[in-house]
Formats: sequence, structure tokens, C-alpha cells
Amino acid sequence: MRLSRRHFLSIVGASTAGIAATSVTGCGSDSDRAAAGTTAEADGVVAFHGVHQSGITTPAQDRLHFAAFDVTTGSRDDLVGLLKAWTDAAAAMTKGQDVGAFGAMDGPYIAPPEDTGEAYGLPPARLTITFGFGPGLFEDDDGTDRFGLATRRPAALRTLPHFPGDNLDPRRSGGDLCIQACSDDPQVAVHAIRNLARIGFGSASIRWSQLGFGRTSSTSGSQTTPRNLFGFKDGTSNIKAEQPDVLDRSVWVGPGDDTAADWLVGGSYLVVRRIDMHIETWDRTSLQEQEAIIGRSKKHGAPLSSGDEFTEPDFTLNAADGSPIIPRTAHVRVAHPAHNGGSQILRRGYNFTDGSDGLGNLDAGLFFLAYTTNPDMHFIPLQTNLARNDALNEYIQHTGSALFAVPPGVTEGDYIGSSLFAP
Amino acid sequence: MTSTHASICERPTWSRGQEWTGWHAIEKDLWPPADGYNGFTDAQRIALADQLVADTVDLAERTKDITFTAPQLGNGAKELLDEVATGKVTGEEEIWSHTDLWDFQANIDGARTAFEALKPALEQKDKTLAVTLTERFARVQDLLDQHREGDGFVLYTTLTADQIKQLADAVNALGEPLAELTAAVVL
Repeated sequence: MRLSRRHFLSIVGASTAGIAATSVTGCGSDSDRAAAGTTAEADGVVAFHGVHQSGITTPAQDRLHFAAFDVTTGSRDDLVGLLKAWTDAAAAMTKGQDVGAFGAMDGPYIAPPEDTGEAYGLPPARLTITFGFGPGLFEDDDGTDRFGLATRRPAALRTLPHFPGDNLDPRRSGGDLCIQACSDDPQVAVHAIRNLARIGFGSASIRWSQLGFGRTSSTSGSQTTPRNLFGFKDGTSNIKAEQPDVLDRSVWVGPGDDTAADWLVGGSYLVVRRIDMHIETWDRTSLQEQEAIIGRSKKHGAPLSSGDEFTEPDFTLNAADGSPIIPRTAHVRVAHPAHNGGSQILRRGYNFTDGSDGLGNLDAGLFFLAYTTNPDMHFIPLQTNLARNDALNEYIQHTGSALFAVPPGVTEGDYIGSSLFAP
Repeated sequence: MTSTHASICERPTWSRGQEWTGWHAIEKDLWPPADGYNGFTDAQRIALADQLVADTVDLAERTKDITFTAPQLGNGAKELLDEVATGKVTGEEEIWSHTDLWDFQANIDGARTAFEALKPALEQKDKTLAVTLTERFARVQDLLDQHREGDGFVLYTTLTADQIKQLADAVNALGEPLAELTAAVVL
């Protein structure tokens, strides 16, 4: 039996503590795995199986590796085979185990190892692996039904419209499949994408990918609100895991929402936007102007109208000269549900810095990830409003875009997206 | 003022649903892309040109008597440099005509005019910053002058990567202390 990364650590830990290592032999047995479920918190294991996919309401991890794929096979069987192989590998890696029967170190000596090995000895680090299906899986650009799925295409799954100010790079946009790997350890997240990409060769090829180094949202009330690269707290009013009613209304696709695509019930839509930030010019902006653009205080994140971080903004409050205290174009005003028909989305974005731009500036920004029950109702009107009215537009530019349907969770023995391929 | 600005120099990617007018529409028509562009009719060209002239006269009329506060001047200078850093030095502003260096020069002229207006006050409060800004405006101007041709400039597309980097570095070197101007004068 191969050694799981989790067990490897247990042994190291036990040895260091001077306890006989023999007490943790028998690694990889079913009973050990079952026990892992009850000690998930301590082990940093997030359950892969469930009603919904993990990595959505899971408290946002610190690191991201995201990849979008083009499906290169024309065979439906190959595609299903890929999803089955990905499911098995994801289930293993999220438990801190290697990919394959022999893993990274214990395979035949004259063969390349099944697992690439760089996560060997690392804990699971709350790894989640979340899969999504792009519009191209159902119909390619020429309208060809590649895999006999066109009649099951969710109505809202199509290329997002061009928003004012978009400067999209086709090499950072679109994709037939996507994988969001999140973990508290960047090496664990990269290991996951690397091994899944390797499994995909011949069936799917990476179209583009993105690393994120710091979460920009809280998805649980247990987390503090992090800061984005503008230095402001981001995601203060995000949907949280502790709000099941809001999740049902705003994140999960419900029965009857889209009868032609009932396979998506329990799933969601994932909106992906690569948002470049002009951080150098932002940094030359006065604190007063920065706060006027965001509509919140930089230090505490409180709305300019008063209170603390979690006080609701009062948009009716005026200054002595009659101008609104939270300016008309302030980000918090333009993005607020009250000015967007009540729309809320679950944001799960990450800060990124991809080197520099060759002109002495960092290539930096926010990799926006958001889950929504219906992009037509929630994201598209919101982004249209933001693209037209948000003062922040002077300091940002959207350079990548993609939309995916995120299938529901997978039960033990099943594979991701099986409801889509069921007869 | 915003609507006049939109009418004169709206970029196509910034279209807000209304008809695209102004300089960049005309620019695209004068320097048409190789394919996928049909061009305007003569009647449309006349209408666009007339409107651009009318809007420009209107803007000149509405701005000639405006008075500015010190923070407005300081922040205005900073924002003109921001525009150079994010739009002109990258060649994005004049994507069809590649006449970005003309815009570059105009923004520098505007920023320098605002700086000159505040310079006497700045010299009282922060002589070092005044010297730094004077030097760095001169450095940017010196680099720009190296790309003069006839009564204007060479096209952006003829610049080498090194020359663009030099310009970008000079803009950042000026932009950073220029952003300190307002606080230095007002506080």
C-alpha cells in the first residue's frame, strides 16, 4: 500500500514527539480513511464528496491555481473517461494521497511515476478541486454538437457579452472545461492542476491558467475580511456559508430553474474575470480619493456614511454642501444589491501578480471568481452597471473572461458531471 | 462636462450605448483597419466632423473662465500623468493612427502648466520637491524631443521596446513625486 501524504506527516509528527512510530502503521486502510472524516479539521481535509462540490462555500483558502481546458478529443467516451479519471485523482489528492495506484515513489522503477511527487510529504492543506463545463462542451463556435449534449445546454451558459471597457485577451478567456484548485499551500494547489493536466493529455489541453496568491473574499463568517491589492478590505458583504437561504436563492441552481438542464440542479455557474489593476497610478492617489472611489474607509472597511465594517451603508446621507457622503460613483454604492435589483453573488476571488509588464509596472490585479444561480439575472446586469458607473474603472481593466456551468457534487463511486451524461 | 468628453473622445471599448462619435471614430475612419471595417458614408463623415468642431468650440467656451483651486490643479496634473502611464505610453490611446506621442506631449503640457501655476507656492513650502519636479519634467521632455519629426512626432509603432521603456520609466519617475504636489502645497 502506498503511503498517503497525511500518514507520512503523522509518522513524522509522532516520531518527533518520541512516540513509537509503530502506532501509526497500517496506512491506507479503509478504517484509517474513514477515521480521517472525523478529524477533517485537524488534518486539513475538506470532503470531496457531497451534495454540492467543495471549493464554493468552503471557507476560502489562501491560494489558487485555476486552469481552463480545451477538449481535444471528439469522442464522448473519451470525455467521460477523462471525467472519471479526474474524479478519482481529485478524491485522492484532496485526502492528501498521491494520484494513481502506486503514487509518486512506489511504482515500477523503469516507468515514470504516476504522481509527479512535489506534494509528497505535504499535508492536504484544505485542498478543494472544483470542476466546471464551458459553453464549448455543448456546441463549438461553428454550432456543432460535439458530444451530443446540445439539448442539455443550460440556457444561461454562453460566452459573456462584451461589457464597456473590456479589453479581453483570447489567450486568457473561454474554455470547454475548468478546474479551480484551492489550498492553503500553493504547492499543493499547483500539484493538483499539474497532475490533472497530465491525466488530460490526449483528451484535454490547458488553454490558459492563473495563479492566485491571496484570497480576496471571505466565504464564511469565521474568516476575517482580507485585502485586495488596492489595500482595501474586499468581500465584506459577501454571501457566507452560514446563510443557507441566501445560498439557495443566489448560488445553487434549484429544481425547475432550467428544465432542459435539470442535470445542473445542485450546481451553480462560475463567472471568471481577470481584472488588471493599475496599481502604480492607484498608489499615487490620495487616501481621500481612494476612499471616495471605494466608498469605505481604508483602515477599517466601514462605509463612509458611518459605523464599522459590517454596518450597512447609508446612501441617503449628504455632506454639508449637499453632495452624497458615499459618492454616486463609489464602488460600494454601484455594486450594492440595493442598486442591482437585490442581486447577490458569492465571490471567491484571488489577488494575482504575474511578473511585470515590461514598462516598469507590476502585472497585477484581482482574479475574480463568482458563483451564481443565474448569470443572466445576477452577474450580467451587475457588471453592466459597474462597467458604466463605477469610479474604480479608471484603475482597472478586465482582460480575461469565462463562464462555466458547475455540476452538482459527486457521491462515492460516481464521477463528476455524471448527471449530464446520463441517458 | 463628462458628456462633452464622451462625445469628443469616447473610445470604442467605452461605448455606453449611444452613438459613437468624436475623434476616435474619425481616427478609425482615417486609418481604417485592414479588414472588417466598412467606413462611414460621406454624409456621416460631414456630420462627425461638424459635431467634433462644435463640441470642441463648446468645450473651449465652457472652460475659458473656469478657476481652479490648488488641490484641483495638483490632482489634475497627477491625473494627466496617470493617463500617460496607462494609455499613451502603452500605445492604446491611438490604436489606429499611432499618434500617441502627440497626446503624450499634450498631457505633459497640461500637467506642467498646472505645476507651473503652483510652483511659486511650492518653492515656499518644499523647495526640494520643486527642484525634483522641474528636473523630471525636463527629463520627460528631453526624451519626447528625441522622437520629434517635422512639426510633430514619429508614430508610436516605430518606437523600439527600449525607447518605450525609457519613456515609461520617465513617466513613473515624474508621476510619483507629482502625486505629492497637492499635499505639499495645501498642507
